[in-house]
Amino acid sequence: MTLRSADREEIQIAWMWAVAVGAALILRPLWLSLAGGLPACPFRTLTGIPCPTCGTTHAAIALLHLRIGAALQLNPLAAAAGIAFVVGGGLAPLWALFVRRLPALPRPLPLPARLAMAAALAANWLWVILANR
Amino acid sequence: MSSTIPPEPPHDGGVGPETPTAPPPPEPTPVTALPWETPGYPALEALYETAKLVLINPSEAFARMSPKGDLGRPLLYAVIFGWIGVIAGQIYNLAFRSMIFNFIPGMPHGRELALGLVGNVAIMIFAPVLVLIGVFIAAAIYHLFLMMVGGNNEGFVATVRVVAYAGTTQILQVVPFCGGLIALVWNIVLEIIGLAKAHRTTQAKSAIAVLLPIVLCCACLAIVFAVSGAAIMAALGKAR
Repeated sequence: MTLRSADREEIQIAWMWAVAVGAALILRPLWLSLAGGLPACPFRTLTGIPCPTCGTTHAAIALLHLRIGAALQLNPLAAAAGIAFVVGGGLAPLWALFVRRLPALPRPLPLPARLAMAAALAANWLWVILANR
Repeated sequence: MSSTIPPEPPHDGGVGPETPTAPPPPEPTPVTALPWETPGYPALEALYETAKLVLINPSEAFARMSPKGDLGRPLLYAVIFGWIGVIAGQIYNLAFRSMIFNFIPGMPHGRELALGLVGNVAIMIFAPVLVLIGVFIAAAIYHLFLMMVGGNNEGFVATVRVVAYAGTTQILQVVPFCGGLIALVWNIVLEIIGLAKAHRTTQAKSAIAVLLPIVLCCACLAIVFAVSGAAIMAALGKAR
């Protein structure tokens, strides 16, 4: 995979990511206090079947309590995205200061890669349905 | 007796008659940047003119928006409108929740109401940070789905800029009762138009990128948007 130099705006994105993660972690008490007030999934209430993002809030709460296994059990894709958000935001300043190179991905992505993304979403939903019945 | 037709004399030393040449293509008209990103434009006037353009003529607004460029101005713009919208929304939330608690017996009072009040005030105070987090996460989700449908012809920066300017709709939260819903629906329309313009892709692809996450988030929310679908389609049709 070839690498290219990052634009100035992409470096700004990296700092923005770091600030977003820092703010999100500092506001941890706010997220925990608001989580209890969120309504239950109406789709699941009506049909008994979890929607594709069911468990995301509980996964986020589990991550905030550092219960990573529980978070992955509830919604693997959401948990993985949350972990990537935090880890990526932590590494972003180092990247912005010392690396500043990105993989040269084709635009748009080739069809196999796009199909793989769709398959990951479908597989995640299947997991949510089977694991949280 | 044969007659010969003398050949036509050449023109200007050429070997035959001149062939008509196509006129040169017109010079592309330079695109004027958004007022908010035009150096020297008075700040309040730039804010107002950009908001008016984004809300009323989004096709032109996003055509003028550069898909690249410094992120400071768009993010400041998003924070300004987002903060106003959040404050308005939280004030209405507080006002009407108190009314409901007073009129309906058995509803939680006291401690629950106090916690809700603290939460509301905290949201109003931290709104700028929440707006930045929201823009970043929303842009990341839309860009991922845009990549999935093959519509990303520009980088992530373009998506962030679209989401930031589409946040103009948060000002509609000052309208009581229905302002939040109008803001939500019009925000979707702006993001569909904006992503199509910024990424030089079709509105079909940008619509999938914006609507599919909503559908996946909750099918019941999708029903709400299906009901609003007529309004969304009408707005997209006018904006072409």
